[in-house]
Amino acid sequence: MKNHSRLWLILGALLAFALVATACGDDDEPTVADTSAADAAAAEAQAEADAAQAAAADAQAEADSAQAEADAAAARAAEAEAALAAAMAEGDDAIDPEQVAELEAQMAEAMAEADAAAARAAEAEAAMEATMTEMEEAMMEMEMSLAGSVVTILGPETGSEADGFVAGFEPLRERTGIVVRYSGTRDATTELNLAVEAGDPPDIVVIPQPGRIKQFGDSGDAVALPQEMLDRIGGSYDPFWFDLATSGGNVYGVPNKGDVKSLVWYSPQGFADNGYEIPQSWAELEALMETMKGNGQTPWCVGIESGAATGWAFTDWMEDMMLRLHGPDVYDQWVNHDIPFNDARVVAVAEFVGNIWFTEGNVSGGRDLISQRSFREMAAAHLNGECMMHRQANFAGAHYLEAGASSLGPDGDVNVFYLPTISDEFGTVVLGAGTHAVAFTDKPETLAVLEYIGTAEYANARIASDKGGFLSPNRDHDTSLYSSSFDRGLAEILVSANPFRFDASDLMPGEVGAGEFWRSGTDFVSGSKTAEEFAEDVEDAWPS
Amino acid sequence: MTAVQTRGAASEQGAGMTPAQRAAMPTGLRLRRLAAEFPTWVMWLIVILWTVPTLGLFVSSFRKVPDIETSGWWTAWNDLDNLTLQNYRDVFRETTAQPSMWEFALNSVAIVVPATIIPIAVAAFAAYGFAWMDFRGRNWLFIGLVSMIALPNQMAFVPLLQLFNNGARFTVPGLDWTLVLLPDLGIANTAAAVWLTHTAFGLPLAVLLLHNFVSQLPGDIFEAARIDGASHFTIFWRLVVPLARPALAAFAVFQFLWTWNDYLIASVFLNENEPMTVALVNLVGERGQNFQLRFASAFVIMVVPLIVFFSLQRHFVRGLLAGSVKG
Amino acid sequence: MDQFITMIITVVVSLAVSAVLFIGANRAVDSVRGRWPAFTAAVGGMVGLVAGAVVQHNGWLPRGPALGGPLKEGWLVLLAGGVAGAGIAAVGGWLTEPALDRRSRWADTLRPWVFVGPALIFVGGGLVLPGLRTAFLSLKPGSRGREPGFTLDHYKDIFTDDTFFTVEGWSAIFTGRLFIVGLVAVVAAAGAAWASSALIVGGRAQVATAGGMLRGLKIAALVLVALVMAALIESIAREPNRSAVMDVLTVVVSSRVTLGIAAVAAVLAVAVWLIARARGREVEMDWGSPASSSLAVVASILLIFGALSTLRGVVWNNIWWVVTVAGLSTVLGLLLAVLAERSRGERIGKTLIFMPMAISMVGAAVIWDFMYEVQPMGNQTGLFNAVLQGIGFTPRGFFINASMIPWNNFWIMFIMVWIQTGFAMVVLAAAIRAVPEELTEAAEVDGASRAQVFWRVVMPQIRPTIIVVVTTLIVIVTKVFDLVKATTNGANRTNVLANEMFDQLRDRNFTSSSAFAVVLFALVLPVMVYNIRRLQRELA
Repeated sequence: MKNHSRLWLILGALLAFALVATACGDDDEPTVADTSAADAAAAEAQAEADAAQAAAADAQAEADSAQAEADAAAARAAEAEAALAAAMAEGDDAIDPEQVAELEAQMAEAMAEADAAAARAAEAEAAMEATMTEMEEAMMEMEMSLAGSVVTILGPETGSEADGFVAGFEPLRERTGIVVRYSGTRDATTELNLAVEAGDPPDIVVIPQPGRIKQFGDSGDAVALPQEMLDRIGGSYDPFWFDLATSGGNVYGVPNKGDVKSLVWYSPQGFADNGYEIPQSWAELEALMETMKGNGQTPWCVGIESGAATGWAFTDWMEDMMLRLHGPDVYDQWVNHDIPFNDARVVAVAEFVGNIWFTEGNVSGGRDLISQRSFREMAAAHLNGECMMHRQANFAGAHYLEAGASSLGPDGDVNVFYLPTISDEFGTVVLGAGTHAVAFTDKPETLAVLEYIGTAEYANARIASDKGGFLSPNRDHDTSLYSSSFDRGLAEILVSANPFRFDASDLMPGEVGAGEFWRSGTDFVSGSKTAEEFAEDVEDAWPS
Repeated sequence: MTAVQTRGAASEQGAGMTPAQRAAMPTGLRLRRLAAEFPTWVMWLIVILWTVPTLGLFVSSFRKVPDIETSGWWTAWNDLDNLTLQNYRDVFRETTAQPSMWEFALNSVAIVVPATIIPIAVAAFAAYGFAWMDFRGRNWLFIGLVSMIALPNQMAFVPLLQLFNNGARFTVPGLDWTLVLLPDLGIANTAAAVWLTHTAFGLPLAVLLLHNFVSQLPGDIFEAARIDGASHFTIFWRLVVPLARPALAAFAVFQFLWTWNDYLIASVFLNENEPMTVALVNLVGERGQNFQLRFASAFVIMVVPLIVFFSLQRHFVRGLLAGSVKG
Repeated sequence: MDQFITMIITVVVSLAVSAVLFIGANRAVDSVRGRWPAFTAAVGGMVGLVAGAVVQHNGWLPRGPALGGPLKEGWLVLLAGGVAGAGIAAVGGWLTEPALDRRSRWADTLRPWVFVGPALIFVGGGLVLPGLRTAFLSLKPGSRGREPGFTLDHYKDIFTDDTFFTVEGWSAIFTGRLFIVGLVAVVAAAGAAWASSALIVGGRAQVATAGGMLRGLKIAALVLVALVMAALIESIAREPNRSAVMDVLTVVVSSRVTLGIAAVAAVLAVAVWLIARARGREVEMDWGSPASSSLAVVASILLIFGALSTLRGVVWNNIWWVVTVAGLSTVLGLLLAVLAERSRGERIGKTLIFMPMAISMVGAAVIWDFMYEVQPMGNQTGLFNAVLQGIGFTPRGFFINASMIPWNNFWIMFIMVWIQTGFAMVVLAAAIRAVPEELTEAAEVDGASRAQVFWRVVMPQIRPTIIVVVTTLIVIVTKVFDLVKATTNGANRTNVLANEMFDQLRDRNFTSSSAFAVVLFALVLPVMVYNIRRLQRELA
């Protein structure tokens, strides 16, 4: 009896098994064959492109040497001419016709030589151009062979920003037929972790935290950018952007978009009415705050509520103050955990921020409300006249426009000024943030799309679509495409800022940067922890 | 008959009177009438308290952003001209990144209908099997199955994703010989993956509730049927299913609500053809742009569950879990 | 539209396949007794199909050119395997047909598995195996569980970290205001129980034997005394520099402690007095009376709140969540079910109460974020603060205001209560409707008041349903993380285990995430064990 029931159990399992096996069959094979053919074609095209590139490099070298030769010859000719002129000038009476003839001959020779060299250089250049076109053709061919292939992208951008992101790929699709399938989600990080762990990540993931990019690089899940790709797109960016996503000598991320954070929003009209000047130094800012309070106005609007990310606005303030109080070097040590989080300097920065926020009359609503007022609503509060200034990144522009501001910029309802520095020794430090695109598969179409994200073409297409806020860190993109001069100004700050520092909480490990730093920071702001306790708790949470 | 009816009649009587008649009543009687109305007052007080938040959401879904951010929704009636349908239009607008919400609604239906029917069918079989069939290890299996309610579902995500992506393989240790236990089913990223996941996650509770009901059905009917030569299958099909219909309907409503409102499973298991919950959340930007669409979306997604509840409400009243009451 | 048609086809086909499978399996079991060779043929065919599938999938057959495309070949291999298996097994079955009684025994053994098998497969594959994997992962070192060896570090981390679990300051429970009020409520409940017992003695309503109650009361009193003593000793020990006399004096003088001692003394006095009275008169205390049982509910809520709002740590917080939401939702749901029964507009009222169930967790967070919204003095946009300001208080942040701790937890829990009350109400209302009318009528004929009918007739009848509701709620609440994540993300002592578990997943710490899952599972397990034992008793 006992044995039989086991038997039936086994048979039942087999039955289920058989049905499943029957139902699924093996119909995935043709597609496998198809992709392998496509892969082969792509690989071939890639090889061709590489060869063409090598040829182009050769031609370039040749052209260079020919050009150099031509230059040398021309120089010699010029020398001869000069010698001739000198000789002519030297003595009207003592002209040695022989010498003159010799010099003239020399000159003519050098001139001819120069001409020949120049011709050779032109030839080499032409050859190079030909190989370049060949290479481009090969590239095109490779891209064309990818027509119809689908690249899946996962990212945090949703709403109108997702529209803009997708619109950025339109030129690529038209040219190559590669279809980009974007899935934006609130919690891209967790979804990515689960997908990676299950062995089926999306092709490309847009990650706003460089710290996580490095983690994925170190664990071997992210695909390092091929050197050729870096050669092609690297020049368009400040090396800083690639350094952020570099681990163990490999670069894992292509910069996608950037944000500028060291901004203070103010109402030009409001400032003019009260006769306020834009503060150029920290002392001026403090004096301005006092004047405002004296006039019965509240200087700041601060809100750090952001649902699951509550507290990030506080970390932004801390980062800006860390840069201003202790400079970029200490900032880097802090980010890299070379100094502990509960270092006296970090605590001092928290207290510095606390001093601004918690002082009676400085912040609209006072300390108690900071942690439950949404960062988004501060735009409306500001427009409503609750306060005079609001320190927030460029994306707050969207909040202002939604809350009823007619336009941004010097003539609009709100404008920005640079949050002044405290001491001159660190330069005009700018805090920013951004996202990188990271490949998790090494299919040729994935790499093609990834490279495309790194080109100015993508940035231009996205800006031209005018959907959602977007600033490109790409140096070569066309800033004239921005729909407002305001955005153009910000983009220029982003591209040229120096020294520029990336948002520290995004660089720290997730447990800290998206966890305890936000959480304990909120506790500190709301008053349930002191600055020391806050720093202590974040230090404890730092993964060893 | 029951006190309920008599009482109902009494209150109707009271309600039917004119104020003059009521005033003419003796004070004692009036007080008693008032006391009889007491439950109504209390219930409606709670009902109003419970409805206010949703009402606030409803009103806000017609307001413009600056209004929402600067004044309370209860002030909206001061200025009815400021209300707009724009938020709803925006919710259903097609964008570059997302097709129209109608398509997502279809996705939702495609996910939810099987994800409701399959667990109920499977759970009904199992409930009958555990309640009315005798087999070795019955109690232990039942305990094991039901105690899986307590397992946090998130922990099953990675193994299930692996199963859907790659099937199940087993490498014989030392032999370097891999057996394909379950081939790649090719259902990763499809609605089927979500059905199966919802089925697995919903089953323990479904079995517990339905078992509660089915086990209390009168056993003598089944005995009689068995003596008449009916097989278990016939009994299940002809007796248990009709008798358990209220319980099945009740569980159907709950499973429907849970799967319809599910965000997490859908967003983890699907990268395309997502249900409405995911699409609606994605209407709002990364930095809270267009946050006002949240209000309208919450309403859009509530409509279908409410219709389902209304249409199946009759079955609850007829006695959800009536069997779990010993009588 | 294509999508719609595809959807309908998929749904119909999958349902049809399931139905065919189930009916087919039943038929197959029928044929064990009736047509044995047919059964063996079916099983053989299946085995053959599997063999074919395995062979095909693993590519063990050389591919013949004659068979045409790979797909066709695949199906042919399957088919061949199936036909061959069926044929062989049919012949085998026909040759060696066992006796009828053995076959019918086999059929009886097989049949239950046809019914419970599908559920077991789903739960086994979807929950049991992942559960085992979770337990395994929680014992692995590293963050992704890929390193060799085992460790208990993840559990140690949870229980040694003060933010997760600490009993520090436990003694403050017994001197807290809530606890003292709770004790008073206990006294009141005991008094009510005694008072109504006097009324009942002559009546016909059943009274539980009070012996166990009295013994329980005595033990509880003793435990209380011990705890309060310990609390005093602990608070004295905290400041070792003072003289002992001064300590005792300070402690006694501090009002809370005095209140506590007074309350405990009162409880003891009343208990002793009641015991004495009960003994002397042989009167049995009636804890089931409306007054005493509702007081007892209030008392236990107060005592539990007093305890859980004092203890710090995520684990305690989680328990508080479970108790509050499961308790309040059930109590409110029951109240509403009873009220609705006697009210006008029952259907509309019930639907409105049920409405939050139709709102997703995300939607609920949006709604309540909005209700609790706070602005500086002036123009409020959140209803709660508008009311507060209207009656003259300063507006406050309900979730993240430090002065709200620990009650900010309660405001988040309330959202969950708001959602789940509808569930409890619907289920309990149905159960109340199902109470046989003969019972209530008989009680009414005997002159029992409406309250007495409810507490003594209806309540015992719907007890099993209440337990099911509470269990379901406990399970749902334990796993809640969306609400906490969306409102505070755990700041200011509002964190719960499920949120922490999810954070660990986000941070790619799969092993410690698993450890949290196991702890959560262990928290719910006692409830499940209780339920199952009750079920077994009922089945027996």
